Amino acid sequence: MFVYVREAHPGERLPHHASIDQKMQHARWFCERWLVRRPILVDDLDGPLHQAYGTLPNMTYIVSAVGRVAYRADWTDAHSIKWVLDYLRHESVEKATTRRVTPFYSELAGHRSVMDYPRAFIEGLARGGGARAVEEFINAVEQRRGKSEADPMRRVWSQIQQQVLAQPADP
Amino acid sequence: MTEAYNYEHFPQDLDAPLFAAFQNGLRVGTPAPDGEVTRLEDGARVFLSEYWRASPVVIEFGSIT
Repeated sequence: MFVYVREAHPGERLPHHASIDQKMQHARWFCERWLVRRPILVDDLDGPLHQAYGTLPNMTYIVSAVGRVAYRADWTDAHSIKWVLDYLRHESVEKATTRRVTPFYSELAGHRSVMDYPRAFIEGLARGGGARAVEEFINAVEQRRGKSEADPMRRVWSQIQQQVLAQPADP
Repeated sequence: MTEAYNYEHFPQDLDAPLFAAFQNGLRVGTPAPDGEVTRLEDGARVFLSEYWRASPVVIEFGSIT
């Protein structure tokens, strides 16, 4: 399922949540925009569950039927989620058929694919939060990673700004 | 300065401390936190655990922005 949390990149088009009703409305727009079919569950306004799980903007967890964390990731990567689900399915078949299994622990670090970054990402920020969301993100990149990373983003933004902002807002 | 949870402006530190803390946070094998949420479909209050009772669940966290 999808747990709806605080706005990661608020701006003039989609501001931060000031009420639970507003959060629910944003969640509705999200559902419509992306044609989401799985259950969307809205966390309370102050984000208690979001914070209990780590407060990151797009984490994924897999929780087993006995309520234990089976997988956790700091970003959502569909490819690795599918791989883990296949593994868990295989594991349960082994348990049910051979009954010759024993616990073990592992950690995994890897890479996830990013499509057309930063251009597509900046377009997404503009269509969502708006121009302010773009500018604040680029400023934060400059602060943390320097002008060498921020300046190419500024160039991309100046190229696409007029065209993107002329389009209807998302939603 | 502590930023409010529902920040109005994107944090200048790019939420880097949160990403660093994540690796040492909730560990696999430990109980998943439970709590009440509001189901968008009908506005009902439900516990997250109702979803993993029957079978494993994938929980993705996010927002429209």
